[in-house]
Amino acid sequence: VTELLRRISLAAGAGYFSWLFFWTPAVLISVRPVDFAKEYVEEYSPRRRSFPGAMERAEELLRNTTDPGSASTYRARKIENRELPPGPPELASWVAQLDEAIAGQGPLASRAGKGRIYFLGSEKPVSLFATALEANYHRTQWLNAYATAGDRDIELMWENRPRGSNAPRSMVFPQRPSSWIPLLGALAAYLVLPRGSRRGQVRYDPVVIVVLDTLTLLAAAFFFALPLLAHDSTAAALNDIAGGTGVSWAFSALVAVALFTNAWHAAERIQIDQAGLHVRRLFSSLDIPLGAIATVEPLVRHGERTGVSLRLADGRIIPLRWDGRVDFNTLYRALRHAGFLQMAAAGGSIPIH
Amino acid sequence: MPFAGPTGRSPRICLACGAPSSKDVRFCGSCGAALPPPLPSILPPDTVPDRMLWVTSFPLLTNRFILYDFAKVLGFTYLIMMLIAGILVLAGHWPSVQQIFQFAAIFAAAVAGIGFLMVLVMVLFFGNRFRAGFSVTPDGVSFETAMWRAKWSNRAAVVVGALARSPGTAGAGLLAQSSEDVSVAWGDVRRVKVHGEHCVLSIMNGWRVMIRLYCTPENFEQVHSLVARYASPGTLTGGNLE
Repeated sequence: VTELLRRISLAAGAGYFSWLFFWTPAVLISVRPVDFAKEYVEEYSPRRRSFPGAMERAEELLRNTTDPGSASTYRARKIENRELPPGPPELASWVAQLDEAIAGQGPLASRAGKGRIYFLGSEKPVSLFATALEANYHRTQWLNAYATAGDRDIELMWENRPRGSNAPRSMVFPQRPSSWIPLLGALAAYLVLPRGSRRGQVRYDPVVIVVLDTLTLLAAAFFFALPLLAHDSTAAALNDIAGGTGVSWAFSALVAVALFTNAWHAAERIQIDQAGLHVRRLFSSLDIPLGAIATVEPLVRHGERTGVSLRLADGRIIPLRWDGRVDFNTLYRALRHAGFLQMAAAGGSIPIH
Repeated sequence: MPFAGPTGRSPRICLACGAPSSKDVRFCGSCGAALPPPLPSILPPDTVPDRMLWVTSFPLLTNRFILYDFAKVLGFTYLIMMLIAGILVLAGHWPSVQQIFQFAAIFAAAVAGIGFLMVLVMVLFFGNRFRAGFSVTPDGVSFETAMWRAKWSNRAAVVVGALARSPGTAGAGLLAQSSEDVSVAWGDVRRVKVHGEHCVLSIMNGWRVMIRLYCTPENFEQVHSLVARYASPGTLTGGNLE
């Protein structure tokens, strides 16, 4: 059962690692302080272009023939239908921190991306606006909305596709730094769980078992991680459980079943001593005294010898395959020495199976 | 002691209880546990024929020797490419170290992709089995592909390569065809590695394995004895990949 535990821990560790590594919140909220007066000037002041094209000329014409109104009417137009309830006055210092972060300084600098500062919806003080922002999005389909905090205007954006936003990686994949812990723990369990000395016993090749475990784990982890990687967020992947996510995870589970086969192989061993053969398998063991063996016959599969078949005195037949096993010749010699098998006749050749 | 085993080459220590055992027993006289297997014994000449030939099939993906060769080919290819890139950097033909890391990552992905394709071919096309015939005669050792699927695919690659005007495909087919049958004269054998636990003998020249003789537990001792008879003295070593 140790071999099974070893692989269960490996599969669980790799799965949890994939989950944490690709975990993305369903929504981020980005914030930026807004200076409407400055934006008004930028929007409506004449542009100086050396070689204006047709579109630029048209824009210039519109600018010259329409009334832009004042800066205050510009602000009113912008926030119309998407004004959120104002934040408390003590948020003034927080807005100042936003300015610093955009300049690459201050405690929020690591959350900045292309002129915006990113937060989880549950983080304070953004959480004060989150409910109203979401309601505004559902009501108007505008992703951005405006509020006042302290004496400043701020723009809040409902980032419902966090991976497509300009948010820093640490905000899009916040669990990554801790994702390595379960993986390293699983690898440690895989290596540290006792194996016992098997030298001299018939067993599966341990090198092959490790390679197969690695390949199986990589394939299972790939199919588990694929939907988490392909969707915009973990919540979006879970919403597709009846579609692509479900199919990919089912495939991952199927591949992971191969780890159970590996455990079955890794646990199998045959020890030979004076008392007879001791066959150990994942969930069972069998002691076969040499006196209980009636005959030993070649085990033939698709016309080819693949092992030996022990017919016991009580009528049971125990097939022992040599394919993929190490040290099978120890068993073979023991059986031959006990008079059950004959070596190929001298002077002839080994029959072509 | 019911089983008096073949002669080992060195005194052995029981791994279960640590008691020393004489070199010609198979089980520990103290606790009865099986002793580490000695190198296979050389059978008396009258029990071994002058020549042996056998056909057997062996696994591909679940075969440590194939995996080892596989890793060696891909690893060396990668190393050589990186060496060339390093020389280009040193010679000033590569503008930045950043680019060499990008190249290393891209080429690693390409090598991994080739590895994945080879695994698919081994599993899906060959069914993780390869059937081959082996012979050990007074002239030397030989290996012959005994799998029509492998032979057919080699010839198909040549034809498809010729029709598609793809020298690479045709060349790969011809190369594979040329290695369907391999013979090595005893004079060219410099070393024979005996993998007794796995019933495999690696026939090597000065630097590489030319043929691996995949035996069965039934014939391994005889094949080993025959190889020991014909190979130059001192060429047999009890190597192991572990």
